[in-house]
Order: sequence, then structure tokens, then C-alpha cells
Amino acid sequence: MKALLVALVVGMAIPAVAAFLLWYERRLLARLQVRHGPNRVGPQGLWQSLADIIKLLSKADTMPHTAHPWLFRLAPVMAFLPVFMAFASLPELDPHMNIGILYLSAILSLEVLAILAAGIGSHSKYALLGGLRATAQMVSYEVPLTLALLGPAMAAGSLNLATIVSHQHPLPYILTQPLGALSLFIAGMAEAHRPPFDLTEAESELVAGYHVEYSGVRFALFVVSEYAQLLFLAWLMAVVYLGGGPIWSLGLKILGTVSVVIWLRATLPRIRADQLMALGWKVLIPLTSLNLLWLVAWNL
Amino acid sequence: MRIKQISRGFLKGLQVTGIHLFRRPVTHPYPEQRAYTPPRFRGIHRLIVEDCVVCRACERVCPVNCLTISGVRGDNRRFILEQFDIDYSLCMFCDLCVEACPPHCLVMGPEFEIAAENRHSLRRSLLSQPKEEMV
Amino acid sequence: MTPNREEIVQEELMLNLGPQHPSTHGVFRMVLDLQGETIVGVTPYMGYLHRGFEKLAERRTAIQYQPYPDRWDYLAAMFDEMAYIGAGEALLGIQAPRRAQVLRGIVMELNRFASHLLWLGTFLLDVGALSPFLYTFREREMVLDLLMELTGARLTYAYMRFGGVHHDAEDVWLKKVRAGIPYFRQRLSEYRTLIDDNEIFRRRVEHIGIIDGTHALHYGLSGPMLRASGVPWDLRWKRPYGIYAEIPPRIITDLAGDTYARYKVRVEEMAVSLDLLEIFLDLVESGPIMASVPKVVKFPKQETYFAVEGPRGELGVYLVGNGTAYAQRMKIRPPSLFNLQVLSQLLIGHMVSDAVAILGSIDIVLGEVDR
Repeated sequence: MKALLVALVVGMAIPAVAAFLLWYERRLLARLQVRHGPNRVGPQGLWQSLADIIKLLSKADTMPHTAHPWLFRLAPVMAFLPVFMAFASLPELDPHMNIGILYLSAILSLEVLAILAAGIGSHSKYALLGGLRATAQMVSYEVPLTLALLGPAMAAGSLNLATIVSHQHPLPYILTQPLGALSLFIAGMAEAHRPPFDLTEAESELVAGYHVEYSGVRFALFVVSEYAQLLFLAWLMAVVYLGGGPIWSLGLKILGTVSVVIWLRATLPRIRADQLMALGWKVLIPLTSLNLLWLVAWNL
Repeated sequence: MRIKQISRGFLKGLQVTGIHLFRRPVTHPYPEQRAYTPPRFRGIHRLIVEDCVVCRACERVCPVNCLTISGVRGDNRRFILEQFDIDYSLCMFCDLCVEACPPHCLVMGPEFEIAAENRHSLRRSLLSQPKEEMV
Repeated sequence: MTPNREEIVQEELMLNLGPQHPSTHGVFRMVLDLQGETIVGVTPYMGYLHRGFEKLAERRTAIQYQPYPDRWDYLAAMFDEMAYIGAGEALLGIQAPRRAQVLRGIVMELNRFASHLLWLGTFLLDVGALSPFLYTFREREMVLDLLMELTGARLTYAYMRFGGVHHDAEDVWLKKVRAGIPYFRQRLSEYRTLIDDNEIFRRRVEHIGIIDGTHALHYGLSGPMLRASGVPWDLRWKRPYGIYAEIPPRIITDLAGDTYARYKVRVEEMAVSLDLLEIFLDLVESGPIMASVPKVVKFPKQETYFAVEGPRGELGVYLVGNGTAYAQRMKIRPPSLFNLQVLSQLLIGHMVSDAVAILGSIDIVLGEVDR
């Protein structure tokens, strides 16, 4: 009963935090680009995301008449659910989940199905191209992501994230396994389609990629799931490599990670699809493997 | 060597964008802060009605025929302006009418907000301009 | 059971890019035939922004047509004005006084700088970098403010007249321009640190969309497109007009002919524009800004071709007079249109992402392509 209540509260809180992150990103990005950013709704424009969500909820529900009705309707929900389910593995929410890393990498790989469904179901060529790119990208980056998570798991000797956190005293794993931390960061950005890896929704090429045909509530679901994923991966980074900690230090670590992600967005151009694959297979997988080797050599 | 070069490129880029975080935003929140209009700005026309001699030079030179002018001959053989309309749905603010005006009674002012709800209200008469606006 | 490779039906995907697409810079439309993400065929369509400016020249008097060239290439309106006014002056046999010539040079180089700034920002936006767009627009806005103080409008200046310029520049304005130059130089080097060494940017733009000098000449390319292919052709010094005859040539070329070379040529041209501005500011001397021009301008029964080096290339006007105030015929040679012809050659074999980058590097303005 208590677990159900926690799940309910977390489920309610995550969209709110995602909306906050959306506002934070828009605001910080604006300041990095010598703009003001949203500053009309509420203090410092804080309620802008809320206003956007209300606007999206009140929009008419449109669906292209050539779209596949089931896939089209299912895709946003499918994008939404795995991210939310992944939060269950975090030590702050469930410290006793012993298969934490296994569970979250399994759940996160479901995300690709949603994007594929959106890409095919929309019956739009831009969406299809975006969906195909996303599929290749996410399948490829599963590997380095999992390998990068394997390092801390091996060092702590457990798949339980709480145990991994408790093993990071006094040194967080980012200091002992810098390669793994870097790989997790990059692979996580690619998993969450953050720029410069946002070629699934590359605005200048594919207009909006897989969610080009979506509007209203369904679009809102995509956006919320994207930012929830960003939150989740930042949280994971903070837990696995930055050493977790009490709630305030965890919050700061998450915000710091998100800020770096936004800073990178403001700085870097978008990577090309084949270069993205090359980066994943030729750079990140060797790097993470090297990290594991280094770990083995250290423990010998 | 190559890694060093690549990472230096990234770090220099991050530095440039990072510096901008501490610069003041250059965009203006528009309705509170007015847009910059220098003295020569070509906005909505202003007419000094008393000086107008109804020579219609402006009407003739206008490339888009957006001016409608009519006048009657007054008592002391001077023309009196009856109508001076500019259709702002046609006007392209090219300054040719101002240049052509012999008594220099037609000038262009700093206002640029001419949005209207329908086409008809874009047709404005310069005769009915409030006096205090005509500086 | 997996099917054999031969059994899989492969089809080309036809992708319609534009006319409403964020990175076709207006209403350009191209239909791409794709195999996977690789482009195997390109069909460009243009004409969505056709407004008949050549025909309008036959229905407006020479004086009335003066504000129209601003609308051809609305990002570099000064060059369009110069082309039209220059052609008209050649027909009428008028020579603008020296102060007007220098002022024309100043406003044209300012306008070239602004146009290249906009190109830089939108090109990087095409490649996917967000911030440089805002940074270049900040500087562009300063240049436009300067031009607005002089001419009264931000984009459609209507500044040049047959036989001179419309407004005189005050000393305060000239001082402002001079004070701006070091600032712009500093910002330019800031962009270069942000962009040049970025590995992702280099990999996105190097070795794509290559065209060599011979082909570039055959396609009739001009401007930075041609110079990036190693042909040192710049009308400002090869067919000098106005004040440029007195300036020592500074022609920027690059041999690579790829998208990165075009980027480099344009960025270096921006630095050259700033240098030229300093030279022009030193040349300013007092005097009249208008030659004596008849009240009613009538083009004689002659024809002429006058071309200027715009930011996009050779911008020419072919003007035929018939003894009245109207032109018998006017033909514009828009550099964007000629540069765009090569697009289908450049894109074949590249990916969709490259298509956007290459199109961005051509620097088209649809107002000029379609006229």
C-alpha cells in the first residue's frame, strides 16, 4: 500500500519536475545566447511550462487521416511509460531493488519502440526518417550505456544502485573511472536525444523528426517524457558516478549535470547520422571496454 | 595529440558560450521598451496641413498610387486641402513623396505600428492627425 | 526465416523538402530521391516568391523604380540599388560626385558585413549550432541600426539616387562607424574561436559539396562560391566601379572548393569588409552628394550591362532604354539563382544532413532567386 502511494506521488511529481527542467533549459539557453527567455508568466517566467501544458491540453486533437490509428495513439504513451518505470530503480525511491542496473537498461530500451511506432504510425516521411535514425541511434547507444553502467556495478559488486552509492565513499567513481563517467554522459545524452545528438528531431533537417505530426496532448506527452528522461539520466549519473548523497547534494549534482548538457547544446553543432554511429561503435564502446579492463587491472 | 586538439576546440567553444552567460541580454522586451527609431526613421507620414499647396507632386511620384489628394480653390486663390489619404496597405515607405514635396510639408514620423483589424482601417487621413503628434 | 538480399524490395524514397521547411531559407523547394539517407536525385523547384520585378521596371518611371531594387535581395539591398542606379547612370552618362561614391562604398561594405553575418548565423543553424545565430544577429542589428540612422530604414534603404545618394552622412555617424570597426573585429575572432576548431563542425562541413574551379566557371558561379573553388574573381577589382578602382585588391580565395572553404572565404571577406570600411572612412571628403540630374529622368535609346560584386556574387542589371522615362526592358542577373543551379550536382551522393549544410553554404536569398 505504501509502495503504491509512493509510486503515485512520484508519478505526479515527475511531470512537474520535467516542466521545471523545461523552463530551466529555456531560461539558461536564452542567457547563454544573450536573450531573456520566457519571462512573462509568473516570476521570472517560472510558470511558462505550466501555461504551455495548459495550452497543449486545450488544443484540438488532430490525427493525419492516413496515419495508423493504433500506433499513432499508442506511441506517446509508450514513450511516457518506460521512462516513468525506470525511476523505480533509483536508490532514493527504492533502495532494495537488487537488479537495479539490469532493470533500468531493460526498461530504457523499450523507449525505442515508442519512437519507431511514432515514426511508422504517423505516415509521414520526415517522421519515418526520424524514427529510423532514432532506432539506429538508440540501439547502438544501449551498448556503451550498459557497459558504462557495468563499471560501477563491477566495482561495487552489486547491481543495486543503493549499494553502488554506498561504495562511493570517500571517492566517487568519476575520479576512479573517468572514462566510464564520460561514456555514460555521452551515451546518456544520445539516449535522451539531447543536442548535439538530436538528429532524430533535427529541426533544420527533419523539421521535428518523429513527432512532426503530433500536437496537443500527445505532443505534450512526448515532451514530458523527453525531459523526464533527461532528469532520469542526470539522476543516474549523479547516483552512479558522482556519489549520490543527501537530497540537497543530489539535487545540486542533477542540476549541475543538466546545466552542462544545456551548455553543450548551446555550443555544439549537430552531429551527422553516420558520424554518430562511428562515435558510438568506434569510440564509446572501446572507451567503456577500456574502462572495464582498467577496473580489472586495478583490482588484481 | 589529436585528442588534445579536439578537446581544446570543444573547451574554447564552451568558453565562448560560457562568457555570454554573464553578458547582458541584448533583446528588448518590446511593448515596455520602444524600438529604436532614429530621426530619419521612415514611419507613418505627417503633414503640415497649412503649408500644403495641393500640387500633387507626391501623388504623381508615388510608385504604388497609395495617395489620394483633393483640394478646392479658396478665396485668395490658394488651394485648400480637402482630402489627404494614404493607403498603408499599399505604401512601402520609400520616401519618394517626401523627397518630391516642394514646400517640404510632408515628413515621415517615428511611428511604425500600423497593424489594423481590417484593410479599410489601413487607409488613413493625414488631415485628422492630432495636433500634439505633429512635432 | 530471413529473406535473401535480392528478395528485399528496395525503393527510392521521395522526400519533399520545402517550400515550408525551416532550412530552405524562404520558399525554395527541392524534391530529393533518397536511398536510405543517401541522396541519389535532386529536383529543385523555384518561383514561389516571384513578384515580377523585371516587368515592373517597364511600368514604373526611372525615379519611381528607385525603391524597388531593395526588394530583390532584401538582405543586401544596397547592392541591388547600386546595380540599378549604376546601370541607369551609365545610360544617362551621369557621374556621382566623389563624396557620394565614398558613401556608397561605406554603405555597401556595411551591408555586405550584415549580409554575411546573417549567412553565418543561418548556416550554423542549418548545421545545428544554435548560439552563433543569436550572436551574429546581435552584431547585425548594430550594423542595421547604423544603416537605419543614415537612411531611415532597416532593410529597404532607398538610399541611392541617380547621380548620388539621398542623405548625407554626418560626422557623428562616420565616427560611429569607425568606432564600431574594432568591436566587430573582436566579435569576428570570437566566432572563429567558437566555430573553427570545433571537431563536429569540421566533420560536418569538410569534404562535402565539392566543386572545382573549372566546373564552377562552367556553371556560371560567382562570388564566394567561385572564390572558394580557387578562382580569384571579384568584380570589385576585376571590373572596378565607383571608389573601388582606387583600392588595392584584396581577393580571398580558397582551393578546396568544399563547404568549409566557402565558410572560410565568407568569414575572411567579412574581415576584408571591415578593412575596406576603414580605408573608405579615410577617403571621406566634403563635397556635394548629388550631381546635377534632370528633373525627369529619361533613359536614352541605348542598352547597358552593369554588374556589382554583391555578397552572393555578380549582381548585374541589363537595362534597355527607349527614350522615355520607362525602361524598355530590364533583366537582372541574380547571383543566387546562378549559384543555385549547381545544387543538384553538389548534393548527389551526400546525406540529408549534408543537403541542408550545402544548401546553406550556397547562401541563397529567395527574393533574388525568384525576383
